[in-house]
Amino acid sequence: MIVDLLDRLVVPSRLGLIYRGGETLGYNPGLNIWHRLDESCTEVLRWLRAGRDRDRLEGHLVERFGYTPEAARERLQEIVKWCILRRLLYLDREPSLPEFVHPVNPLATVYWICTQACNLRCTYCYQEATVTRPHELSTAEAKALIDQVVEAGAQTFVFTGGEPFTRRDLLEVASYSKSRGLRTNVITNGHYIRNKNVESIAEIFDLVTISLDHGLPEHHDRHRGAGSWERALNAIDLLLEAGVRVDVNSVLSRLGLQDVKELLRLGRTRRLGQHRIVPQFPMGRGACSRNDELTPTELLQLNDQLSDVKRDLEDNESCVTMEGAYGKKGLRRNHCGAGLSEVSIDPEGWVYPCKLLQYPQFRTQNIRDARLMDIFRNNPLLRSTQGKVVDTLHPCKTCIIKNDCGGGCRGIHVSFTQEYSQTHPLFCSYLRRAFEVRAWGSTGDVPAHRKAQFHDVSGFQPRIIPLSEVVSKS
Amino acid sequence: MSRIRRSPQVIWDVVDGVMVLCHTDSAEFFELNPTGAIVWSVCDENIIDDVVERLQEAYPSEDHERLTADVWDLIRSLQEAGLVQLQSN
Repeated sequence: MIVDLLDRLVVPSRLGLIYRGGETLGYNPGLNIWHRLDESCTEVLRWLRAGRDRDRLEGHLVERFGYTPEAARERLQEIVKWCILRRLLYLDREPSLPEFVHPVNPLATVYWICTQACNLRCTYCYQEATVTRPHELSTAEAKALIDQVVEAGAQTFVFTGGEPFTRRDLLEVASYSKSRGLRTNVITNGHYIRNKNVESIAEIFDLVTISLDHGLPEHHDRHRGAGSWERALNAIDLLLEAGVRVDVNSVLSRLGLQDVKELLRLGRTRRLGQHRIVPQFPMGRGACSRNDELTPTELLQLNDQLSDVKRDLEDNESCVTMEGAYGKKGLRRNHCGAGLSEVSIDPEGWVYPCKLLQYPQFRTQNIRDARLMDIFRNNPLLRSTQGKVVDTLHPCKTCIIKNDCGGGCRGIHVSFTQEYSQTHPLFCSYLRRAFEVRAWGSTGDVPAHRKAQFHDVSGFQPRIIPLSEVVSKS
Repeated sequence: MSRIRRSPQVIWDVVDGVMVLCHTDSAEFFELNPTGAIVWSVCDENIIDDVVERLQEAYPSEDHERLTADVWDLIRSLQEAGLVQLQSN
């Protein structure tokens, strides 16, 4: 019966066969689905993709792999069935992908750079934080901003900086944010988190993200200042002890490559939420210290290297995520979120699409002059960024991994190109490698926690679920 | 007493931890939840009572009547989708 299917098979557009170390990954870019292939399955897909005579395929398997005719027929049946069920081959026609429809109100997160002041002078600070700006929002204005954020329909409000804790009214304003029902987070270097205030912080903040770049104090302190490593680590431990969810952000410089194993080990021995690793890119003060950036070769090998380190540490349930790990198997992504699911507001109330896009050309309006909701809905510049999706961006629209990376972080592209609509080939190459490493890492034996949970009583009632063609995500 | 038989036009496999079924005539896809996957794996050439017994082994604390009703619901859904056939003995 299955052999009859051979004539009905349709090869997905731009089906990818990605080779690596003698093995092949089959990638359906339309659905953003991938699976590891064995040799005979690769051969069948290659044959079909090339449009060769399907009647000769069985014979080809006999010649290529030394099967008997019966074994070749049986193997071909298995392969066809396997590929159909994994959407590496379609029956009769390629389904048309549903159009991306962004939610009516996509704004989820507002980042407020609550001050330009910082106690540290990190060599790669994208914000180039130093001292307070002249017209930073007052406490009353900050609370009014939070009212506007609620009005605009966002669910999460993130305090960042500068160093947010240099604002004396931080806890008061954050407490107000929490009382208005916003998920309230802060990104900090941890310097001001002490025994005396950790309980208040634990009550107010849903998530505290600490910047910790290195596994060795001498390296961290060289970039961020004497004593900063110890203070950051102390803050992490205090917060965890107080029951706060703690994430860690790490900027990876060349120096960081030397101690990345120690860094991951630090994270592994603690109950971190997420540990995000972002290579240093030429933004802010980092544009003046480009010798600290990873070389192109180091950058392109980074995902492989960290994958090896995680394996060495036997870190199977890792909370580590790399820059570029935006996508998920089976989900399509068409936008990075700048100006769409998030906006950023600078210390003086100016609205930008993203905290990494604080350049004069991306400045929109001030929340002192207009409501955030109106700016978000009507400002031409924000409207323009909201409409820049991978299917219309010229360099992205023909890329095979566009539905996985969603175009990548525009802030990072812009740090190289200074143009919103352009992509930088080095960062694109990095994203491609990041995708491949992640895709390969998620194939093979199904990890135990992803196996069917036959004893999950909450999902007990046996159900049948018609499978929609594809799940989309903006 | 009805005996369940999987439709010969259906192919299935566990894909990324989820039981996926495809009716090759209509090229329609379906997923089964974990409990549904147990039912699917034991239903062929079996009667409903046997399927319920197998499920009861996996969920010993579940109420037998509820289990029977749930299995019937699923089998009817599978039948409507053309994934199984019921044959009276």
